[in-house]
Amino acid sequence: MKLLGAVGLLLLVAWGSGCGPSGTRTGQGAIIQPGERPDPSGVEADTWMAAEKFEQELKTSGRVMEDPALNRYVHGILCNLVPDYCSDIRVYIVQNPDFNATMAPNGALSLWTGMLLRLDNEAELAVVLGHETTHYLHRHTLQWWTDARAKLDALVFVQLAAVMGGAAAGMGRVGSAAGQVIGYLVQGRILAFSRDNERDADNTGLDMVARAGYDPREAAEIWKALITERDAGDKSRPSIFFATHPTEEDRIAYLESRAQRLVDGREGLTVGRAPYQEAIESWRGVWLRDELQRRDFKVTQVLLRRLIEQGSNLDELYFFRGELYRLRGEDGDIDEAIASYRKALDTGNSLAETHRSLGLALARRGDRAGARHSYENYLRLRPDAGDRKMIEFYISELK
Amino acid sequence: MMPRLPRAQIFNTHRLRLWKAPGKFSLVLLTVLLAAGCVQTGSLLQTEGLSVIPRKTRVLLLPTDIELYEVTAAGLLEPKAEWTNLAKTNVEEALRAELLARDDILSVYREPADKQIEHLHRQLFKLHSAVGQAIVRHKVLANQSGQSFELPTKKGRFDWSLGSATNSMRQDDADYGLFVYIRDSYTSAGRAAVIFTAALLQNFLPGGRLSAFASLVDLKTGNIVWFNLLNVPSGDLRTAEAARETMSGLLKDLPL
Repeated sequence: MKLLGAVGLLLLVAWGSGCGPSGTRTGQGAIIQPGERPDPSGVEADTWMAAEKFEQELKTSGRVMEDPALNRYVHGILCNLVPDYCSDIRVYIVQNPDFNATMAPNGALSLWTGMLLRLDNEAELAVVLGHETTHYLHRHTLQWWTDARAKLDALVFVQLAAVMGGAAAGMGRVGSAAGQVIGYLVQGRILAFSRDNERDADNTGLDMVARAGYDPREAAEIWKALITERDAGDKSRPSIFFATHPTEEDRIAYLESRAQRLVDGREGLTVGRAPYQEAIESWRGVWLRDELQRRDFKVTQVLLRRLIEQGSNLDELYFFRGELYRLRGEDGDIDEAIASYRKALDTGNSLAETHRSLGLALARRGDRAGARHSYENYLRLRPDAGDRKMIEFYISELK
Repeated sequence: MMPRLPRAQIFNTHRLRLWKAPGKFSLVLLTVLLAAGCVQTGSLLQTEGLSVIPRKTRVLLLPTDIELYEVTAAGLLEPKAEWTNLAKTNVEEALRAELLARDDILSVYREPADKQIEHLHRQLFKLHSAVGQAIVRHKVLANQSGQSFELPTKKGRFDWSLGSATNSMRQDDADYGLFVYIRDSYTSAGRAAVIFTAALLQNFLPGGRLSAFASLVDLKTGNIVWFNLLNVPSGDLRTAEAARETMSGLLKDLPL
C-alpha cells in the first residue's frame, strides 16, 4: 500500500505539471482522401460504425426535411466548396429550431433549421458548410475520441492512485478530493482539445470559402448576430453550440483578421443574399413557427427585429411578430400584437390565419366588433377551416 | 405444432456462463462475477396470442440489431466495428441453425425493393428495439435493488405489440417473425486492471456484459407472443461456437 501511495503521489505531481499523456494526433492528422473508407479493424472504423447507426436513426427520425429543391441548393454549395468530396458528404436538413450544425465522422452532415433561419446569405451558409466539412476532412471525431479516451483512462488510474496515496498516508478524504480536482482538470483539457479542433475548422473552412469565391468576411457576421441574441436571452443556457466552441468574441476577432487577409487583392467575391433568401423562402414560416415553440421570446424578438430591418418578407415577419406578442401576453403585448397583425395586412399579408390571430388578439383587448370582423374575414378566406365550428361559436358569443 | 403453454410468467433459469479469460486476470474476473451479481434470463409468453396453426409454422428471421463494445479503463463503451461484424455473422448463422433444428419452415428476411415498405420495416425494427427495452425495463427487470418500474397497466399481463403493420413483413407467407437485439461489451485489459485495483479498495466496478433479447412476433397482429432476455456478465459472440451456445440459451424456451 505504501508503494502504491508513493506511485500515486508521483503520478499526481506529473499530471499537475502538465506531463500527462497528450492527444494522439500522430497518424491521424492526414487529410481524408476522396472516397476513402477506414481500415475495417481500426478505431476509425469503430467511429464510422457508430456514425452509420446515427445516420440511420436520423434518416428514419421523421425530422429530416425532404424538400428536393432546398436539399439540392444546399448540397450544391457544398460541392462548390469541395468538388472532390461532393459524393462523400451527405447533408441532412434537420427540423430543429436550435442553432447548430454537426458532422459525423462518416460524412453525415446535419444542418439544423434554426441555423438556416438565422443565416442571411449564401456566403454564410458556405462558412458553416466549410467549417463542418473540415471536421470530416481532418478526422476530428477520431482525434477527439482517441484523445478523450486516453485522457479519461489516465484519469482513472491517477484517481485510483490518489485515493490509494491518501489511504496509505491515512488521509482518505484528501486523496479522493485530489482525485476530483484532477477530474476537473482532465475535463478542461478534453474541452480545450475540442476547442482547438473548432478553431481549425473555422480557419480551414474560411480558406475553403474564399477559394470557392465566397466572401469570407460574412463569417464574422454570423457570430455578431448571435451575440445580440445571446445577450438578449433570459436563459444563461446558450445554444448547445457554445459549450464546445470558442467564445464568439474570440471567434469574431480571428475570423475577421483572417478574412481580411483572404480578400486582399480579390474582387467579385459572392455574398449571394438573393439566391439564399429565395431558397429558404417557402420554409421561413415553418421555421419561425418552430422558433416560437421554444418560447424564448426575447431571443426571437431580436431575431425578428433583425429580419424586419432587412426589409423583405415583411408581411410574413410582422405576422410572426404579432404571434410572438400574442403568445407571450405580458403587459402591453396584446396592443403590440394587434399593431403587428395590422402591419402584416398593410404590407400585403393575405393569409387567413392573420385574420384569425388578429381576431383572437382583438377579443382579448375587448374590441368585440373588431374581433368579429376579423373572424368573419378568416372564415371567408378559409371556408373549410378545421376550427370553423369554434370560430363560429366565438362570433356568436361576440354578437 | 404449438404446445399449450401456461399463462404469462417469468422463468428464472439462472444459467451461469463460464468466463473465458486470460489467466492473469482471473482474480479480477472473480471480482467482476461477484460484483455483477445475479445472472438471469426471463422468458415471457402471451398465450392469448398463440394459436394452433394447421400446418408447419413458418418463421421469418429478421436482421439482428447488434452492437459490440469494449469497456475502456475509464468505463466508457467504445463501439467495435470489426467485432460487431463478426458477431453479427456468427449470431445470424447460429439463429438459422437453431431454427432449422426445429420442425418449422425458416425464411430469412430480404430487404424489400419498394422504398416505402423498406422505410416501414426500418421503423418496425426501431419499434421492436424500443418495445423490447420497455419490456425489459418494466416487466422482466422491473424490480431491481428495491426499486420498482412496474407499470400499473401491465400488472399480471403480457400484451405488448408492434401493431399490425408487421403484416407487411409476411415474406414467404411467414406466420411469425423472430427479432433479436444484442448489446455486448468486453472488458479491456485496462478496465480489468482498474476493476482489480478498485476491488482492493472495496469498490466493485462493472466490466463487460452481454444483454440480449428475442421476441417472437405474430406477423398478422404484431403481438409479441414470446419474449426472452439473456443478461449475463459474459459470453463471447466473436467465436462461432460461443455464439451458438449463447443463441441456444436465448431461444431455449421458444415455443416452436
